[in-house]
Amino acid sequence: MKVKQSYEEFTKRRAQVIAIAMTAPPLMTVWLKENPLPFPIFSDPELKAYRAFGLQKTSLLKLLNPLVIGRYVKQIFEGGKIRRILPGEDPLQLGGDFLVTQAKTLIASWTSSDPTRQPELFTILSLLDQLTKPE
Amino acid sequence: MSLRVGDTIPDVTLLDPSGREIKLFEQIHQPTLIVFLRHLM
Repeated sequence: MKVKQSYEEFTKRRAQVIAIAMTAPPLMTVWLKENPLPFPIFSDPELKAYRAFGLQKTSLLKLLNPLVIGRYVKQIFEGGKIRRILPGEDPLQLGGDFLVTQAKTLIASWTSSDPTRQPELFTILSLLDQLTKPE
Repeated sequence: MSLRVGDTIPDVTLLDPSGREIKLFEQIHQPTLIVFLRHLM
């Protein structure tokens, strides 16, 4: 996750990051010991938050699309790693990224039916710069 | 439910790593990137 490596860019802009995963708390605790994060992460094992934010599942057919597999391979070569699917997690559940104001208003969102698609960090940071720019 | 720019996000209930319930809004004090994890990190 590039956000983890670039977290300082968020704090410099007086912004925060919150991660949400479908991992149940006991497994989350174990996972965090191996993969500590500089920002909070919360569990949504019943996927209620995922659904409330409009995040759906992909299909096995879409997941096994050669283009998707190619992007996974590319991301692995670029230093990404596939996190193993923990018990209770759904490998077909799609993620997403939502940028919100302090007032909880949505500024931008990035969702895709392709699990390898992620927003460019530059785009997110540019939006934050516009939010915090003095008038 | 599909959120649009300008909408107020839902105040969902989540669990912290200890299993305690928390509300998302209580965690947001600044402009925030909320990342719903995919399985590739």
